[in-house]
Amino acid sequence: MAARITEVRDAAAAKLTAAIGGEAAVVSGYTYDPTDFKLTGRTVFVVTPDYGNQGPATRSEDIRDSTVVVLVAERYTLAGDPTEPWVDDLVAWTEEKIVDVLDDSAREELLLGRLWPESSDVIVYDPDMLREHKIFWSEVEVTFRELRG
Amino acid sequence: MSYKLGIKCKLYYNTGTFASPTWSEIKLVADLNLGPTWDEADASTRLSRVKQTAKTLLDLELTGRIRVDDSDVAYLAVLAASIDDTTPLDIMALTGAQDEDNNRGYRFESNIMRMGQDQALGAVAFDEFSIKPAPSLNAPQSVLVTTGAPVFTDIVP
Repeated sequence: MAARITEVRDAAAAKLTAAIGGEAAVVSGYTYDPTDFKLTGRTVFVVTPDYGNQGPATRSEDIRDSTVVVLVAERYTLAGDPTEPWVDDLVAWTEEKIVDVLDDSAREELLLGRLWPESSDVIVYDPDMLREHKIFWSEVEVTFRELRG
Repeated sequence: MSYKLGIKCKLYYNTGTFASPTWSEIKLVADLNLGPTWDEADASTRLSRVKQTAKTLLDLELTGRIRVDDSDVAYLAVLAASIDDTTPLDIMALTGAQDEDNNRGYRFESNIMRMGQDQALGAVAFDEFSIKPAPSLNAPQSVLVTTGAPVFTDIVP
């Protein structure tokens, strides 16, 4: 039987895949290489670095959190430095296709029918990666919460 | 173990008869407070300058929170009882499971006097309830689990 955190990761990846369509490759797993400077196209990595228990909600259920981290990576392939419009587009794309999809404030569709986004945090871009390696690198961390016995 | 954990305490409701109960656990209870409190009457005399107080009536109220769940049979039973004022809900509150010796508590036919709901933006919906003994020909009872089963003692004058 798969671990709950694995189920959460795969459900998040599936939700992103449906939202993104063919605009990026969605990869989920345990390893990703931040130094893969030969990235081609736009890649979305879905990883789940931690989970935890926030204590009892009822006598039969605990408040359980699962953290999903989504990394959006794309290499600037043209000559010269990455342009601001290029970065702007990626920032907007990340907000629309990643943040707004997973951190759905209306809670329209719970992940696995039970988990809702409790909080999110976004590192908009990594300046060192952009400056030194011409790679847009954004990290979106969403904490999902459920009540589970 | 010499101490009791609150999370291990149990609240049950009866799906059978008062004389032959069948207890179903209400699992979605969160916090619960059982507060038996005696009303007082002054019984002081000139025998002493120390006040003397007599017990008169026992206020036996359960207050707590239960998670809203439309698919939970026990929650729906409590919700129905909160609206109905003709059929009391027979409940039993214990310090542990009904088949573990030395757990103790109270049992009585009850009215659900309050069932307020917290619908705050960031919250999971819970109902806050107040349960009090209902008028009944069956006296409220103290409970002590003995040899694996609840043993009931009427609380009478």
